[in-house]
Amino acid sequence: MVNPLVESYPLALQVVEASRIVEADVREELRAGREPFARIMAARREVPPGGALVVRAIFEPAPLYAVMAKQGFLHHTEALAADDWRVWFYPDVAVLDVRGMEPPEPLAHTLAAIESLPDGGTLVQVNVRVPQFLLPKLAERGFTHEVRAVSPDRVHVVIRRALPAAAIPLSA
Amino acid sequence: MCFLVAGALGVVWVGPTLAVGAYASPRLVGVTHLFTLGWLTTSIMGALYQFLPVALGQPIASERVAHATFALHVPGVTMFVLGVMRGNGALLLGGIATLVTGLVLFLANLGVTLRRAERRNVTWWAISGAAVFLGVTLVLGAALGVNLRTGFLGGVRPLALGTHLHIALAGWVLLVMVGVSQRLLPMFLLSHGGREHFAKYAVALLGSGAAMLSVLHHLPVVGRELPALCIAAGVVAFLLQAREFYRRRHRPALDPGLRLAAAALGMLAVALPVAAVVLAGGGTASVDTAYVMLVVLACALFVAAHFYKIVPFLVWNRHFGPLAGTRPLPRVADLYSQPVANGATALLVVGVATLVVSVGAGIAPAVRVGGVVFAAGVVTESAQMFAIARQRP
Repeated sequence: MVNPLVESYPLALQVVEASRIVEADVREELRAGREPFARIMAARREVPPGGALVVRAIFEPAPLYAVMAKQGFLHHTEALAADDWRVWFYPDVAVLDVRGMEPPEPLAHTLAAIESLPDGGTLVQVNVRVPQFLLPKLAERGFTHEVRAVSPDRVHVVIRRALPAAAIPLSA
Repeated sequence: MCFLVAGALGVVWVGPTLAVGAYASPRLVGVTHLFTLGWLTTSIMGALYQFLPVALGQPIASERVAHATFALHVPGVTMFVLGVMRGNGALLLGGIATLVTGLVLFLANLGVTLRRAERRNVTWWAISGAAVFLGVTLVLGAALGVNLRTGFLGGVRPLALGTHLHIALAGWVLLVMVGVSQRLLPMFLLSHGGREHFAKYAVALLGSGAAMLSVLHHLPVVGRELPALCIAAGVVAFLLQAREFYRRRHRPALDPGLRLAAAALGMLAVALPVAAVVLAGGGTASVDTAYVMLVVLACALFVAAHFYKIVPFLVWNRHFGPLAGTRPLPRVADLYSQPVANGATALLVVGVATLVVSVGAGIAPAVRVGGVVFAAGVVTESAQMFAIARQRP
């Protein structure tokens, strides 16, 4: 399983859960001269909400960038070797890294940032610990949150603004 | 803070007694307990109620019991100190009964909280050990208090006093300092991800030393030199851990609180060679008194340093936090004057240094001067804390 938790990666990619990443290694198809687009799109359909797609190819798959961008994905490209390219397609989610802030700056910045979230929008706070003072304030303001402890010194807090009641389908 | 102010003014008052090294004087015992029971223990109790949910993910078991604890502890300490100083048996025994009841409630509340905590990290072990040694300190302290009226301890009183003092400082106060600073120093210094092994050694060594002292204090070597060595090594490990945090910090400039904490840690480092002299029996009563004073005041300043970080944060979180994101708000550092805090820090450090040197040398006028400088620092910090507590949006 690939791990997006690399400091040099874009923050929005780092906060994707490893279990929500789907891989499509199409190097063999490309070497055999077969068209891999259908397989990549099939893998894309398997990506769960909030997840990412990783494509491995023998050249930079530049045409995919525009295709995936139309579906709301950003990309991060790595040239692992001359004939080995890895491209991460990940959702465009707002991320606030508060690891370099002294309390209560993380709380102040996060509460300010979530005010501008659209209905149903998500902000991921990257912290070094579970922000115990922030969590009750999120609930008071009608936001839901999910805490993901990804390493001993790193916590991702996924904060969501609820959809207005009228926007929620009755079947949900 | 009231206990700290009373203790600082008490130091000025008992200056001549300090200068002759009469550490068993009732006035000196009373003033010492204003710092240990009044300032250090009350601050630790309050801090743990705020700190445990953050450090261990476990809120305190009962807020009602916590309130009852303070309602008993504060008058208990006041009665006890007045009883010791005035030689009033009723006040003394009433004070002991009240504060012991409060502290037993505190320990029960803390024990339940620690048992429920899922995270068993170095902080958990440090605070668990500290809770045990607070209990041991209480038993020895109550025996010494009763001895003041009955004399039942006879010739073992000095041994009981030394054991009580070192278990209180190493087993209770220093263990809490190690456990709490393991979380707070990286948070305030922005030095996350550092190695924790020094803190683990510190907890193990301080705990072992205090445990040996608790059980074997009547024996030579294993009840004296060996525990002293363990405790000294524990202090060294704690200082190395703190140095790691300060060196790895991402914010180069230190604010007054972190500067004062560093100075307090430096005082603990200075106390180590002085402790060796005292242990070897090479010191006079004045040097012994100066040593105890240095350790107690180093711990007192370390806690006072954290007040500059914690009090503004709590006030901001309670009164300004609910408005965050809705309008511009002051930063925590804007809630008090940094130059005044720097002045208070300088007064506190110079005051303690003057006190310790002049007590060790037995120079009474210099003890008074040191006491006045120290008290000026304490009053300045206290005034700032009260002003911060009154800040509103």
